[in-house]
Amino acid sequence: MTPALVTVLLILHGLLGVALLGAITHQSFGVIPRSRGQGPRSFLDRFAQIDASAYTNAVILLFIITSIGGAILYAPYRVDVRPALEDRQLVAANGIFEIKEHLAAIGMGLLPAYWVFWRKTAVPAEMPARRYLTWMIAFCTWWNFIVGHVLNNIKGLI
Amino acid sequence: MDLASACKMFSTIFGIAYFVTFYSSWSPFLYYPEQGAFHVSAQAASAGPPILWYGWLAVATVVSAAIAALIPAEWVRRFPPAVFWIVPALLLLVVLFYEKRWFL
Repeated sequence: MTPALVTVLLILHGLLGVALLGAITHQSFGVIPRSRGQGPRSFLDRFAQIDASAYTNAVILLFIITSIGGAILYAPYRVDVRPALEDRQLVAANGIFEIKEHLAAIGMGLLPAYWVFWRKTAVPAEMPARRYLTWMIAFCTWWNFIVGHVLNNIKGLI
Repeated sequence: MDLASACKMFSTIFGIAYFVTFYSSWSPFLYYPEQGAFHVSAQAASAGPPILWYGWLAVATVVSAAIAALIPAEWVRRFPPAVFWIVPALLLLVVLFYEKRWFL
């Protein structure tokens, strides 16, 4: 894989990550239980007052495509970046990437159940499953997004 | 087995199967990016560093799909919905706890 292709893929991977982050964050706010008060609505109330189910297919598609991109970029990472981190004894940087790969895998594994719990109107007993699966996928997404950028910045500096 | 039950079981088993494979550092195949080749056994150091992650994903996918297909849907329907988020949540905590070794 040429360096130019890696750069293009990395930018695409990052842009898809931004889209995924937006969708899953919006949906995550949408499933926070809240009481309907009479007072003025805050920005967060308006941000969360969305049809959260509308994001489900987009989240699944974006998570899969972004993960495939990450899987492709893993090979040049293993050859170019990881040895550089190891040479500089940046153990924690390696560690956060190890967690990133685990969260990408576990997040993909969660998608089928996430899809099932979002595909129809949830009965009250299923709301926690819907909420916590969404939040877990959001956690995986945020971790992977931040770690990806941190490692990209570290590689740019060394 | 109906699709919804199979999906729930797949997601519940997947993380466990993935954790077992990466914890044991076993992978049915290894990818050597410097060679651009897959191998079923470890190569000499001159082949460069291998990637096991693809193999872990493949094992977790196959194992969880097989179990999801084999478990009868009636059994899955008897589980409370909480099982399908509590098991993955615990698994996430186990993974994070295990990986704290990088930061000690």
